[in-house]
Order: sequence, then structure tokens, then C-alpha cells
Amino acid sequence: MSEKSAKWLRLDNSAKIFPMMADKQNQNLFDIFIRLTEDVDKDLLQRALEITIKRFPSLNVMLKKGVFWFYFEEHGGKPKVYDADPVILKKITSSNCGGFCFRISCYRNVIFADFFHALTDGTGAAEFLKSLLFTYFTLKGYPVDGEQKVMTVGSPVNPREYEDSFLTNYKKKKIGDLTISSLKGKKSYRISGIRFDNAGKGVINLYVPAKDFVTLCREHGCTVTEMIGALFMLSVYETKIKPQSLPPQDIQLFVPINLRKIFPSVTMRNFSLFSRIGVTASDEMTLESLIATIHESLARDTRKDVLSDKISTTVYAEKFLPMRMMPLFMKRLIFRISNLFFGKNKKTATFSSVGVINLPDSFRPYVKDMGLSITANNACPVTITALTAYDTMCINFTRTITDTEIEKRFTRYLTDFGMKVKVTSNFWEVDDDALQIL
Amino acid sequence: MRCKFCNVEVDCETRICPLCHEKLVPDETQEKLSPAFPQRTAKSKRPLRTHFTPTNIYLALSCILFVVAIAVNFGMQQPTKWCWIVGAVLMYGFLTMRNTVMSNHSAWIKAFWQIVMICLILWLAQVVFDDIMTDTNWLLDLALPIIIMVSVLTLGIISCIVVRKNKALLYDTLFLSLIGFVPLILYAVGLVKSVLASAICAGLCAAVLICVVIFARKELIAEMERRLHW
Repeated sequence: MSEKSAKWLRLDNSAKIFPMMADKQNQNLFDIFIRLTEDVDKDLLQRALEITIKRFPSLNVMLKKGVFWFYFEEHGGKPKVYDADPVILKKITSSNCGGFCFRISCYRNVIFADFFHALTDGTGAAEFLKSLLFTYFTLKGYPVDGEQKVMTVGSPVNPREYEDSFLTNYKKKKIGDLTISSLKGKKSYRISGIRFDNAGKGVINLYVPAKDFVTLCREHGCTVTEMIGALFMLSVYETKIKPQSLPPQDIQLFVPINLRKIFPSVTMRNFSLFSRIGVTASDEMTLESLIATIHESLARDTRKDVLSDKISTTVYAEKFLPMRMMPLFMKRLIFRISNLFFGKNKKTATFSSVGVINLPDSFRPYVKDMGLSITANNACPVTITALTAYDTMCINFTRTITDTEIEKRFTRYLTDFGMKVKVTSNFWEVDDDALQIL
Repeated sequence: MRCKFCNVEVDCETRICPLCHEKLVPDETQEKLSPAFPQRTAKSKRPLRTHFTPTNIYLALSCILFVVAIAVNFGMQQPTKWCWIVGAVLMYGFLTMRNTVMSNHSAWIKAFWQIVMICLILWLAQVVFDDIMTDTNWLLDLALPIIIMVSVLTLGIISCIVVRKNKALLYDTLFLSLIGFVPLILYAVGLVKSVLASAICAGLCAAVLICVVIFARKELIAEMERRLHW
């Protein structure tokens, strides 16, 4: 592989778009946070990070501008562990992260790991974090074992870990056979509200017992993703659309699909596509009807042939000659302009259901729970994620608006089902003065 | 602590419910919780883009200086309007700070804009000191080739020194060397009257180009491959 010998990497197919869409305040970031049972030893975590990063060459890179595309170049330096910033999902720049496309920070017993989506997706990031935790616990002197679930530092690097799995699963098709329409969204309801200043974001985490939630889903004959998606749609309708007596609106969720479950791949880079789940909101909407709609949409969009067509379409767009020949600055300009005019109102929210993070049992005494938070922006002011580690599922809401009505209604549904819900927040919506007085 | 309105347990240090913002009743028996996120400070809510950046401070000082220069120049009714040169130099300083010192652009792009900016200042000087400078074509005949030669030589020497650490400079030197042929092209189209400086400039740039291609061919190809991959 010429790229390997020259110590640089092309961006994978889905990563190519992320640097082009980044603006002065927003960037497609996601943050995996791990609550430990003890306070984090920052110095030890720094050592663990320096050791672990060597095992993950695809993350040990910096983003560079080429003439036609961005690319990753090997980073010669060492990543640093920072003190967590009160502003969550703060933009990663070369000045605040030493040129790396990720940032590890800590606060008391929490480790925050922010990743620029161009670098990897949730699965790749989780693998890296498991390895980081393993090294950290080992340095701490805890008796931990990888249990074949962790890419330990000594394990050999499989070259397929940094392949572009979109290209390996690409089947050449004629332009007429491509499913371009499946990638387009249709106009949908956009959640409105008073926005936070600058890059501020509000976060609310709901921690629920995973077993109880799975039991609830079984009672309704659905999956966790379907249940959360349905409850969220109901919450949006009840709190935002119904009180304003708006005409019928389409609620559309943008749901990333992990392709590794469908196409064999061990890549540490992005390998996910998305499904758009839409429903026209009305009073006749019930939890059961929403579950059925989501089930139908996901069943359709996760079919191997449908996904294969989508892969072919996205890779075709990348390989399209005029697109390849166009200089980077022109590509960026076109992407930004098209996003400005056609990108708005295409989704109500992004919902990422990562599923269960398979942590070794030996980590159990030291890890309390985990969660995931993804960037919300003006085009998509609320995002929701679900991630399970051990017995706890963390449902995270990240928003750029002040009001917490959707979260409140969502939690009410859960408590009405008899769920024991624990809540944490960064209280970004509360005034400084009020926070001090209270 | 529990919120009786939302029927949830609050798992972080707070006195209000994260959902309904009602006051929570402290539970004395419960162990002390810590905040879930770093404490917010006034600084963290401050606008991310502060106006007191070095470039903005420089710009403000430059504006003051320029206004003073205009006042002095026009106030004393001097025939030569040197204040425009002061303004141009101050603007050059601002652009250098913004697009050269504090920019992530490639070295050849920075050098290219430096050449353009210096040429513009010299052109302005030519216009302002019209009565002093009798040779009207000195800018293209002499100044432009010299500026390009100095730029190419400087970048070439730097890239020779740091070639092992920073191979990207080879690519920059290559591109900047190509600019060295511009005076010769201008001579061909009749804009340059004297060929000597332009020919020396083109010769020097060709020599640098050949040296880069001969001595750092592999590094240059690798760099071209990564920059120009499509």
C-alpha cells in the first residue's frame, strides 16, 4: 500500500464530506464519556494514551488539505490528556488539540473522548477507548483481562483496520441504476427554540437499567432502537407540534446504521450509512403505530441489497470524474452553498443507537457506565443517542436550544412504564446567577 | 436526590431538577454527589471569538497611525502624499500577520501573496513618488524578478535544511520556482522591457527546480502523490 509507506491516508468515503461541512463553530463531533468508580488519575491516563495510540495508526494522524481532497498525515507527536471543558463537543482545532482529530479529557471520575467524525465512527472510537481503558487499568495495577474483547497494545495491527470498507464493498453500477433518491431527504419538522449563545450545548443523560428496558421492549415486541425512536417522536409531537396546533408535519429521524453488522469489516474508520425514518405527525399516532413504522423503515433500509446500492451510489459520487477533478476549495464552496439552500429542514433529529459496548467483565468493578453525545447544530437542534455498558443504558440528549420539554416528556413516558431513571445534566439552560443562588 | 415532580433520581450535585428545574429536597442520608460535568464559569459562556485578538489590536493601532499620517501629510500641505505609503505598509503588516504568520496555508501560497503584496506597495510608491522616479518600468523590469528570486532562494535554502523533517517544503519550492518564469512570460508579451533580470530569475528558478527534481525526487513524488491524489 503506497499510502502506508508514505505515511498518509486518504479519507474514507463517508469521511470526505465532514471537513467540508465544518464551519467556524460547528464540526461533526461525537463524544464518548465513561464514568469510572474512582477519580481519574490524569498523569496515568496520559501515559496510557501515549502507549495506546501506537496501536491505532489510523487515529494517530492529522488532517491536511490536498489540492483535490483532504487527507490524513501521520502525526509525529504525542496526544495530550486535557482538563474537560465546560463547553461540551467544543470544536477540535489544530491549536486546541495539537493537530490530532480527537481529544481525550477528564473531569473527576469521567473520561471524555471527543472524535471528529472524519477520523472514525462510534465503533472504531469504542475499540480505541476499550484499549485505552485496558492500558490505564493495567498501569493502575488493577487485575484486568482483555478477554478477547480488547485490541491490546501488543496485538498485531491488521492492515484491514485502516481500509476504506466502502471501496472494498463497492460494486460498479451504471448511473441509471443508482439510488440517488434514497439519499435525498424530504422536508420535515425542525425543532425550534431559543438558541444558546455561541457553541454552548445543553446535555441531559438518562440512565436506565438495561434489563428493565429490554423487558419493556419485549412486552411491546420491538427493539431498543424502535422503542426509543418511537418515544422520541411522540415526545416531539406532544411538546412541540401539538401545543402550537401546527398543520400536519413530518417528523424525520436520521438514524446511522453500522454496516459492520451486514458487511464483513474490521475497519477502524467510518463504515456507516444512514436511514431516514419519517412519519406524519397526527393525533392518531400511537406508540404501537410508531414502533411499526420504525420497524418497517429499518427493515427496509438495513437490507443488504439496499445498503449495497447506497454504498455504490456514495462511492460513485466520489469517483465521478468532474467531482475528482474539481479543486478542494471549489468542492467546499459547492458543498456549503448546497447545504445552505438544500440542507435545512431535512431532518428533525439525529438518533444514534450504538447498542451494547462489549466491555470485558474484569472492567466491571472500575467502570460505572458509558454514554455517547453527538453534535447538535442549528439545522438539527436536538440529537439523541443510546448506549449500553454492562447493566446501564445511557440515553443522551444534546441540544442547542434552552428548553428541556422534549426530554421531560420522554422521561415521563419512561417513568410511566415503571422505569427507574437517573438523570444528570450540565444545566447549560440555567442562568449563572440562578445556578449560584440555588 | 429525587425530583417528586418528574419521579426521577438526580445523579449529580445540584439543587434543581435537570428536567423541570424545580427545587430538590436534599437527602441527608445520601452520599455526596459530584457534578456530572465541569463547573461552568463565566469564561466558558463568554463568546468564543473575542474581539481582542492580536490582529484586531494591530488593526486598531494601524488605523490610528494612518489617521495621524493623513492629518500630518494633508495638514502640512506637503506635495508628496506619503501617507498612502504608510497606509499600504500598515495594511501589508496586517495581511502578513493574518495570512502569513497566523495562517496554516502552504509556504508557497504564503510566499506568493507576499510577492503580490510587496509588488503592490512598490507600485503605490511608484505612483506616489512619480516625480522622483523617472524610470517608470523598474517595478516589472527589476523589482519583480528580484523579489521572486529572494523568495525562491529563501524557500529553497529552508527546504534543504529541513528536508528530512518537512518534505512538504519541497513541493512548495517546486511551485514557487514555477512562478519564477512569470517575468520571462511578461517579457514575451511585452510588459517587461529589460530581459536581463527576468532571464536571471528564470535561470535561477530553473536551477532550483532541477536541483529539487534530481536530489529529492523520491520525496517530491511522495509529496506530490499525497497532495494531488484524486
